[in-house]
Amino acid sequence: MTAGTSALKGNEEVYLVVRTRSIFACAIHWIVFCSVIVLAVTGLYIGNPTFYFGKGEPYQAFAMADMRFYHFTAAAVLIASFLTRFYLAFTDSCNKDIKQFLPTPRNVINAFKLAFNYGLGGGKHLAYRYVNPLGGIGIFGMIVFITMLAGTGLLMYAQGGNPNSFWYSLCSSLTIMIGGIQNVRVIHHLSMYFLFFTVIIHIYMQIWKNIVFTESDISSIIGGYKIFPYRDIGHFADYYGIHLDDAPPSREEMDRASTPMKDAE
Amino acid sequence: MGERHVIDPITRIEGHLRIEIDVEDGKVKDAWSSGTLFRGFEIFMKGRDPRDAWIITQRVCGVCTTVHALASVKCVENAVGIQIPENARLIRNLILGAQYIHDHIVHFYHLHALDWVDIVSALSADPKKTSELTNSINPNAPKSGPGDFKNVKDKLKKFVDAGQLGPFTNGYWGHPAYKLPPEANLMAVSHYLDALSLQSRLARMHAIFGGKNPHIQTYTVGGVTCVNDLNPDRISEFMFLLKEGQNFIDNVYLPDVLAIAPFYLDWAGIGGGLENYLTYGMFPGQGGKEPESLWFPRGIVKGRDITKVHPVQVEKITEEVTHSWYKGEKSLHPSVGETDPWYTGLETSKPEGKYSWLKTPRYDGMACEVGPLARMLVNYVSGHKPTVDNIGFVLGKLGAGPEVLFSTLGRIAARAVETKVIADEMGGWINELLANLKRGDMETFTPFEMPNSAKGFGMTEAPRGALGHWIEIEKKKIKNYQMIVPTTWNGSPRDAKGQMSAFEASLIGTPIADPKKPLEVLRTIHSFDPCIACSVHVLDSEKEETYEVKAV
Amino acid sequence: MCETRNRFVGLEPKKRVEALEDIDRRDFILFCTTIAATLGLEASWVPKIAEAVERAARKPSVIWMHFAECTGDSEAFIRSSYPSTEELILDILSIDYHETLMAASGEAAEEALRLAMEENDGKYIAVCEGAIPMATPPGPNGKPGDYLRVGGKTGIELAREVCGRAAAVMCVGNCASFGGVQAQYPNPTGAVSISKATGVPTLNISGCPHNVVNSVATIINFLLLGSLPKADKLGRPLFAYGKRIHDTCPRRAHFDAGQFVEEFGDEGAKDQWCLYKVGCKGPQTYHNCSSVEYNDGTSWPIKGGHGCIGCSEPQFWDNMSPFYERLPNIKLPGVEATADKVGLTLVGAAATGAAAHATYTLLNRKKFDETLKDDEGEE
Repeated sequence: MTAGTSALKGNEEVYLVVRTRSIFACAIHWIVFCSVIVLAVTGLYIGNPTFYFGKGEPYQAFAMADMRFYHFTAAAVLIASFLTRFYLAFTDSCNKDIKQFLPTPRNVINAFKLAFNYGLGGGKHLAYRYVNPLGGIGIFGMIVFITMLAGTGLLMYAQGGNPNSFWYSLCSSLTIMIGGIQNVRVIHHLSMYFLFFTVIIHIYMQIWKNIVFTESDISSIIGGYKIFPYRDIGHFADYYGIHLDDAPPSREEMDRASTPMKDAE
Repeated sequence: MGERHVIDPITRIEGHLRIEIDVEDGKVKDAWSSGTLFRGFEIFMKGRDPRDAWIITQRVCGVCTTVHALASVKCVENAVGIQIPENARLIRNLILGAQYIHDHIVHFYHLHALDWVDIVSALSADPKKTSELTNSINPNAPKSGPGDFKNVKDKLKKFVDAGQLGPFTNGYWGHPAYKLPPEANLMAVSHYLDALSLQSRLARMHAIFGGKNPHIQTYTVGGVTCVNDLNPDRISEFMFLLKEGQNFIDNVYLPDVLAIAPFYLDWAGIGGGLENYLTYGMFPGQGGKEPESLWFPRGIVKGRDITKVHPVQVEKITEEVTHSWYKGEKSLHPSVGETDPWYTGLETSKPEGKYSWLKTPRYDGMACEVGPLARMLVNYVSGHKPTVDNIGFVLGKLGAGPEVLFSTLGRIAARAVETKVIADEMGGWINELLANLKRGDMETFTPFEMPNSAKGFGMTEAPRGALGHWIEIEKKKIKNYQMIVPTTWNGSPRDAKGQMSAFEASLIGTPIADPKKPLEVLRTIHSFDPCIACSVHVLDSEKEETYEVKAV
Repeated sequence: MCETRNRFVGLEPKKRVEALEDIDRRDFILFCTTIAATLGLEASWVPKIAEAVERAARKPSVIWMHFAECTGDSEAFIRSSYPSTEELILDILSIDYHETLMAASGEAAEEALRLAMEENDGKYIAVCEGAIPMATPPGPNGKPGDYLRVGGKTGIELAREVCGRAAAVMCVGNCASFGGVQAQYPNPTGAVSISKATGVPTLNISGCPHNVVNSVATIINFLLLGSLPKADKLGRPLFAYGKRIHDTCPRRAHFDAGQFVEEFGDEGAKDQWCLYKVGCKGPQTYHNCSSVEYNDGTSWPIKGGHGCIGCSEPQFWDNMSPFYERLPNIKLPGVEATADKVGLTLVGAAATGAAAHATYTLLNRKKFDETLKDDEGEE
């Protein structure tokens, strides 16, 4: 890992390299990313098929059938990786703190503060080891929207099933509760747009943070390590439960912080 | 005031109708007609996509299916300002024509015949004599051998002997007003059954171009969608079904009317009622301009004066609610409304109270009758050749003048004549359609852009009479939608001036042999072919401004 | 005993009934006992079997009720071809009350209804057409359900009376099954389905109007097997409503190929391409139209070039409309928009927000840098 650049000039560069995710978690992030892209492109086509390959006899390309095949395949991948990630959230070697994604009052207040800081500048820069409260809420939103997408998608998928099966009758009961398959479909479409809404903000914020605050979230989602410049360690430590009282952390504290695997117990 | 009798429900009609009569000295002295179902179409039409209007309004009525659809697409097209392609016009004419053939046959045999035909008496008929009777009126009558009638009689006997009379339970069998000899009854029963299977085949004419019947699904604002059915195979299927229908009309329906009428000639003097007859006209010709190109002209015959047809000025149509279960007193054009449901109960004192869900339409303050009789009269007076010929033929057979048309029997005859006139013309439209296809013209749809705001109206004729739809579009959505339908004209309560509408007026003076078995009332009411679901509707409750009607 | 049985078994059902007439009562009970023994049933079943066999000799009584409707389903019912309408009315069923077909009117009609219900108490099939308006009309004498009165009774009273005493209740058409056209927003008359109004479970032959093939098949099923066919969660028989129109649509290949009608009357329409883009609701509608078609297999809407409107689904007037669009509009207070419009606005807002913020950051770079410095200053 190469060190990130610090905004501090002329000072001694102190970096803390922290393992933030297992390599599994990183891989899953990108699998989810890819499948969402595939799902969005194919989904938009299925919703409004605007182009068609070839003319006359459709022997070369069953455009819609293919699109639906990719859509369902990507959906299966998404759901599988999503479930795996859910499992990892409790068992992963690092970053088990599920609370950071939940919209608890504390998180919401912090997220507002952060949004204000990030939005207008000024105040105090806060760096977080894993996910900051604003990102946490965003990710919570994505989890909700992806769950809704997967759920409504499955309800629609079940429509073609064997009407005598348990799965079919379960899904049709749920569909009736939601108020019919057209409502399910509308929710599916809307969730997709809401997901896009959060994804756009998410991606923008990550790039922005990397540029403006030189935080290394992008490398952390690729490699699983996050590099903290000295100036940020305080807040990170704050989040991680090390109380600094305005003093830089001691070497032991930093070590402890950087080795969460031992620390976790 | 005579003795009050209530007939509720009136059966063998569409919808829920209640008739109250006062009987004095064996005659109806006073009558009230109440529609007893309210569904609120105009309320839920608001805010919908105008393109959907025809699908929704078609569900106003399942018996006169397609006619509301037609009036509705026409009114949206009028608002959008588009002309549909020739093929679409022809297909719409064919579908409307098929509707008349089907609906009039079903009405005569299944909704009306049992008022004149005593099924039980048919059991004592002699099949041989029945055959002779049938052939004496029409030597070409199908299935008219003694064996055919014996089969029918046996079937009927077995049915009655089984003790389960089904729909014929508790009919007024043996009523003194039934005057047909057993043989004529048996003939009619036989044709009742024939028509029952025939109507199911005739409905296929709709299905060929319309996708299904009832409630066809081929219209769309801008034309029709059945471009794939414009092929020789489908058209010939249609032609042969039409031929089957024509055969039935020529050899069964019309002869039956002519056979039964002589026994009931007294009914040529009963049930006349109103003296004004209104029709909007139908079947647009080449170019589709209305009312100029209409094959059945638009017009009014006033005061039974059969020398002159007056033109219809749409803005003279008003509706009022003095005796209807809505708030308000004024007489208003269809699109101006201040109507809220205001229910006062069935037991309201009459004539001063409110007693029906139907509103009361008037033309220039006049009560008008609509329906086959009105159309035939307007056609007859304006010299529509096929109508003049056929009415002449029927009147000749009955040995009577045109004045007998103003009666219950006249309505039945007019309906039969109309069925024949339309069926005979449909072949011509098929030829026109084929000629277009030969030229390679397959156009069925005119693309259009829904305007942000527009107003329009569509008028046509339903089998039961004059039908008009009015629409106002705002923000590409329906802001206001109005219908004035045939049975509203005929079956509505009195107006503020106390003028009766057609049902009530026609009942006055009807002889009643037994008020407990008011068969005579049914005869006259059924002769109008009532359709109550159509007629109950409410106007806009907020809008105050007057509706402008665009000249076509 | 054995002789009786041999005389009976192997005969056609109709003949059986005739054969039954020959058997005297003693023989008959003996015969029922044999059947019970054959089936391994206890002696207590003998009277039940006797009753069932005797009942088979009578045509089942049908009481057909009209509520808030357009009579389209009665019309649809008499379009039957196999068996023909005539056979249905005369030979198969005993339609004891049917306002559109029956001879009697007024008091005589009410009497016919009363008779049919008394004679066949608990044994008749109630066929319901039309929804029940439950709301109270405004006005001095308005009572719940007054939007519909037949013979002076409200629809609710009649429906409860007739359905409550029926052996089975079959709803024909969307109105009786789910409320139908009058129940669409804002449902001015408070129209609801028969089962909601009466609390009696119903078998729903949905559609607008229903396909007579399905109602007849259901009745025949009931007559032959003595039970109603298996139904889905919405009470619709699975034999007719188990598959989507889309799954058996003859234009399905064009859907898969991505060949769509863009506008009625275009080249695609002439080639019978898929109607998905002009609002066909086949993909979300359970019905067997495509396999049985209407009017003796003549056609059905998609064959007629028009998209499916989803008429067998609950609340299709609201859910499936606009009928020429794929999805219903989203109704928010004051606004009505498509899901795409709402979504694209959202996405646009996010993108604009991001761009605006990026610009803001560029212009105020110092402020953000100071954040870092401040940070450092504290330390």
